[in-house]
Amino acid sequence: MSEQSLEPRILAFCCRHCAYAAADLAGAMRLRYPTAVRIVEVPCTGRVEVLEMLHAFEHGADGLMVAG
Amino acid sequence: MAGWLDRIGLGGERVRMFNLSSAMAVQFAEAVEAMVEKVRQLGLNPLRQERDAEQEKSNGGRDDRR
Amino acid sequence: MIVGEQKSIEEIVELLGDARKVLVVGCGTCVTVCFAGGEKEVGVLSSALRMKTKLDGHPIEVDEATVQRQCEWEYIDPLAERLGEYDVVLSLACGIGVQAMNERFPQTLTLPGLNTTFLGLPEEQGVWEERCQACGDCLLGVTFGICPIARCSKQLLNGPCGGSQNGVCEINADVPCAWQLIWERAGQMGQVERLLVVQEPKNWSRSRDGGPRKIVREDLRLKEAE
Repeated sequence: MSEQSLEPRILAFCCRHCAYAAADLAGAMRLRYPTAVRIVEVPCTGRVEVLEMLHAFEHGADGLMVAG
Repeated sequence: MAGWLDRIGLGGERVRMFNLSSAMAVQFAEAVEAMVEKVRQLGLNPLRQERDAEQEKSNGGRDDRR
Repeated sequence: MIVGEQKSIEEIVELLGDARKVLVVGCGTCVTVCFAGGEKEVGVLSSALRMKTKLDGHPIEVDEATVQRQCEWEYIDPLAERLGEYDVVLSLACGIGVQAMNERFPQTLTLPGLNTTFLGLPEEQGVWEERCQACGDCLLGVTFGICPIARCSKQLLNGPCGGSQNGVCEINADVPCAWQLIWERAGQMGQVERLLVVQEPKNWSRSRDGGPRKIVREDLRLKEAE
């Protein structure tokens, strides 16, 4: 099992009214972007805690975006 | 947060904040591309090996998204 | 309140040595409000330790606990039954909590994860300053509520010294001259002449200089049943 065969896992915390809406629009516009990203909707990026982000890495996330 | 990742040894560049408005669909896609590219440069998270191995066993190597 | 700050993760890893299973114990009082050792800080440090030690090739199993006050027996006693599983305990409480743990549970070593720094207050969010030296003989009544023992670099009782420049201490430009502050406050209250009264040398034996201190309140002690 080579490392190259594994997909990166990027977690994206997206705030409902801005980034999540942008992601939604990207879908509606049929824009292509990497499948590596996993989107998590939050009401506001202020909701995202350092501990939650660390746990994401502890459980194998390769990268993390906070978008808002 | 980036500070913690640096101290841990994973690298602070694995976390990044992006400012977007709801109309910025193209920029969202670009932000994802940039993040994926950065992660490819840094390499996969060395801590994920165990979890990947467990997943191999439980679902025979399929992608973990159902 | 007691103000402390976390030791660097490198120093903590070194303190932990060969330990393979560690309990990190936080405290819900002073170190929570100075964001050094409360429940959240315990969570963050524990996660960081797990990841760092795994990446460095000597993984440590790290569990978490936070008690309301680590300096009181009744709050730490519930931890007793768990301690046997751990090689060592890492406390994120102030030095008092660390010692309480070691005294109450002598079979398990409790290590300090914080540097306990001073008694002070949050001047603004994120900024804490020293205000009290626990000298045991409070003279705030004669210095208009500003403490020269804690805030004057030379702990003068009849300041200011000749080094006071533009209201700032000659030893550290970030430190306002305590006696300037005292004089200004006296002026605001129209009582500057009270500062002309010479303060006698302080009785330092009531401070830590007289040895470790103890207070006994007989009125509060529990009487043994007859």
